[in-house]
Amino acid sequence: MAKQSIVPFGPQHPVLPEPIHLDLVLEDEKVIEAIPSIGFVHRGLESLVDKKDFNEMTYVIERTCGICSFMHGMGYCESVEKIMNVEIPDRGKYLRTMWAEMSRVHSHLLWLGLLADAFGFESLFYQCWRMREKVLDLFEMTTGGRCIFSVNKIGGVLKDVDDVMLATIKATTQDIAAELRVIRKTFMEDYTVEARLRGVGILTKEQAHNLGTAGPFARASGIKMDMRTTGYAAYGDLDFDIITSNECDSYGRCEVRINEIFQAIDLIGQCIDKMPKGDIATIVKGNPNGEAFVRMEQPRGEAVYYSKANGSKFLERMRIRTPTFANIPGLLETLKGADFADVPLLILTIDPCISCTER
Amino acid sequence: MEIKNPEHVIVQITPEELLGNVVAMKKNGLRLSQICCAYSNEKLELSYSFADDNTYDYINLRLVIDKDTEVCSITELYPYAFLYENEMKELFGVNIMMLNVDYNSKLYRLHDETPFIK
Amino acid sequence: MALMKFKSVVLKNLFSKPVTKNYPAEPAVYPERSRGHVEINIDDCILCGICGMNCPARTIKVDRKASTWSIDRFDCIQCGYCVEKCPKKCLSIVPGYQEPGAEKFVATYEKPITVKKIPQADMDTCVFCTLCAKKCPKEAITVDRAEKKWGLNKDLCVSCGLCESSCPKKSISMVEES
Repeated sequence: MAKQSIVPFGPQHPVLPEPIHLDLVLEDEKVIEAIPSIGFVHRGLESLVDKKDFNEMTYVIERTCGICSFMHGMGYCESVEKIMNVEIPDRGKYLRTMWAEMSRVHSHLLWLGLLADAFGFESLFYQCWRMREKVLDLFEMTTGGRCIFSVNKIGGVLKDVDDVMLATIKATTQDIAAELRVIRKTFMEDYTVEARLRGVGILTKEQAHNLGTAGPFARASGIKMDMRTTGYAAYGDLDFDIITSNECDSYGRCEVRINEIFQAIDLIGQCIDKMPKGDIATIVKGNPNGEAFVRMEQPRGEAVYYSKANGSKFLERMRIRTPTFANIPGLLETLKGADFADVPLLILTIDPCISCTER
Repeated sequence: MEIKNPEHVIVQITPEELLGNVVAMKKNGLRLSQICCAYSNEKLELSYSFADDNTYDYINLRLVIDKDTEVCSITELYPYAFLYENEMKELFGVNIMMLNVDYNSKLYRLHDETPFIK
Repeated sequence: MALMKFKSVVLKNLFSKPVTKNYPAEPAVYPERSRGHVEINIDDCILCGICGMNCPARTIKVDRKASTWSIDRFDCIQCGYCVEKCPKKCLSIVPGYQEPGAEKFVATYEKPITVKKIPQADMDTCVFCTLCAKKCPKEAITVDRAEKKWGLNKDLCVSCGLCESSCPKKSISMVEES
């Protein structure tokens, strides 16, 4: 029997944007077990509910993470709106949907860049992030912030987007789609890239279900599940299919995410075409009383927002269950039997967002 | 696109009924979506949420217990529940028995014990 | 042919302008909506303190006695909630980020002390609808419908004038405190 050794991985590692620690049990070059340890960036944001009132909490929740920030604010607002039975105006819903899909484009482009970096394709990484910069510029133009938008409020959105801006968004996203088609070829057809991704980190459909994975990670294993099907915000009016892949490996995860960028760009176009006129927010009176679960499809997968209120202006409990939290058990499974050299790549394929996970 | 958005269900159960209910969920092929805890009126409220990925049903099992009531871990049935259960144990001090991976309050690096209990 | 696949990209990059800017020689251009820093029009400010109470980072301090409004720009998270909440709309969030520094400092704006204005209800026209009391951010107004009484706690009042603008009968007017 080969000798076993334990290699600590993280919390600081070039491939990790955020700290997570894994103890890898190795037999020669093969990983036979991985033991996770998180908690390096736990800030206890959820417990701030008893210091900040429910309107201020929107801004706190948004700052959970810099990549999924818009969706966090949106999920929190929808959960409070659900408790208070507030129906937000159609234009508000469409604007939220548009920004959410733009967030998806920006998050997936960021991930593609990081993936390219993880398998050592530096110039591809630059190309992806150069494209992402255009989305960030659109955010800055429409909301005033590049990563943290602060446009959500209970009852709608704060800033309207005029027709000129909408036209710019549509034109720019079309440009991104055209550029991405070129880059897609490198990701999907390049011999070296394929050799690095195909057959690495296999997670079968059954395993993916039994480990409770979510989002593109699950969809790449052939699970047809997308929270947007529940029709929150304006998704009920839009036309889209759930993108899945039956590859079950890193290549499949890359494929799903690239296709989701095209889908998101298409959804942004649909939003802009169907954008109704009217108010962007309703006036919300009183304090919430009750509890609600809201499920949302974040770029990384299903996120659950739970709010519990007792009629005062401070909520009793606010909880975010982020997709990375659900994907960690799946990651541990893919690591078993993997080569030590593939570990950084595999950690990246679940698109880890540790700040969200620990809150 | 067909919208599937059934009402979320909350089922009140007692700690003794927990495992039986979870077995039923497992048999129906439901996915454990999340477990969360809330503290109100000196009671702990545990919500075990199960999701059906075909019908988008969302079923929450709700336990309302005292601080020292023992709750059986569901990691035997859903091994990936260990992160949620460790989190509850650490932040709220929920008395969870028979955890398969117990971090012994070292999941998060905390200054205070059970900071979410006020 | 698989060989020379990137030829067109390489040639294009060789002869096109760089995509990056020569910063800081060429200044960064911020769009109009960019949330850089909070600015105050101190002349319109009534020092009501609503911005400070609602600031999620608690970075705005309002001192009514010294008649100052101050902000620690290093703690500000540029959320714009104060701008949203200001009853006088004297706050605005404008482009231009706070420059980094070795130490944090507080920017203080002073407002010349003027005579305080307080609301006065005209008892002849008042219908005791309690709208003013509901609108008051400091809960300084008490209205008793049964007793037909309208009362003001002068110490709590911040002269925001929300009661004046919300009165359906236009019976509230802002008068100088005697």
